[in-house]
Amino acid sequence: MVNRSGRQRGFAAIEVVLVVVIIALVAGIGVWVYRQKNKTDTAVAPATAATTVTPTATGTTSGVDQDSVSDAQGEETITKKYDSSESSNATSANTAVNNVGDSYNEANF
Amino acid sequence: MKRISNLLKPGGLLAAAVVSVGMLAPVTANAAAAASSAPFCTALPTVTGKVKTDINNLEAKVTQARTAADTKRTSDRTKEDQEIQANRTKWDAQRQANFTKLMAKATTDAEKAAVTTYQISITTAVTTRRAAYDAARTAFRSGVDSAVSARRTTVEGQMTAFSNATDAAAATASTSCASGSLADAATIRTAYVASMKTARTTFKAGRADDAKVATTIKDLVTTRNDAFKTADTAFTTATAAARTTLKAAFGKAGSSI
Repeated sequence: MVNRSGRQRGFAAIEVVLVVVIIALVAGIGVWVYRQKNKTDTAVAPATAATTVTPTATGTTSGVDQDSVSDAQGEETITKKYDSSESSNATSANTAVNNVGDSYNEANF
Repeated sequence: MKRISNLLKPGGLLAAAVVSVGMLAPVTANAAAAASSAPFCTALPTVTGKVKTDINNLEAKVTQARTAADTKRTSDRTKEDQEIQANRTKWDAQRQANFTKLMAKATTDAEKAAVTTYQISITTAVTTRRAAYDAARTAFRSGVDSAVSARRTTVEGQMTAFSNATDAAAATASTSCASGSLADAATIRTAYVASMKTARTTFKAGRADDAKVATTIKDLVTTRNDAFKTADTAFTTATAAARTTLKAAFGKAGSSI
């Protein structure tokens, strides 16, 4: 379509291509960042899991020491894992208490 | 002296009309206020009844939320205990495997006796450490329970005070409506709204301390973890002594065990 000044209306092909390229670039960066993060997460996971793997008994005092350290660390990890739930359980009724204070709005009386 | 008939002139007539309207306006306004506020007294029982019902319903939800929290707390602690027990069983078995292999390395009666002594020392140290951990965990849980219970008692008092204040405001308004004229309705409404606002503001101000339980729990966590560290240190000291004794019993071969 041509307007009165003689210029064509709409998008030029190069503009459309530019927009597509920009979108592809942004999407590509997003995918790359996501993959990098996943790589990091999977790299960390086995290391964490490795601490819970039971080693082969060596029949040495250092083996016994290691068992005892792992025993204690495992117990501490389990206990600390539940700290956040202790806290959330202790405060979970707060919203319901707040709602009591919102049971009416005196401006509507 | 102007004659009264002059007032009948166009300008005077207008002035007289303005004065008349001015004199009548307050009366008209009062009548309008009384008329518009009259429904307040009529609707008061419905309004106060709804407020009471809503507060009761919301207080019931607080009870439900607390029950749910208590159930989850019990469930979480049971799971934690089960996981701890599984962890202990696993490392007990592993330690036992090491003790068995150590015993296999002992060639003399003295060495075998030393391994037995070592095993007893380590097992005792483990038991002592676990008892210290259990005590620290029990103290932590008791502390959490006390903090939650104390906070609930405080909140319970605040909810009762809030409910009582709204009841008192309703009773006062009801009495005033019963004894006052319709013209008093606006004043009664203003007083009722002010009382209800004060009740709500006071209750809301009490909410600022709701999150303090979390702070108390953080302190309890620190205390418990410090107790864990103390138990770990005592354990390390005990096992080091047992190890030294065992290695001494094995003489030159002590470096291999």
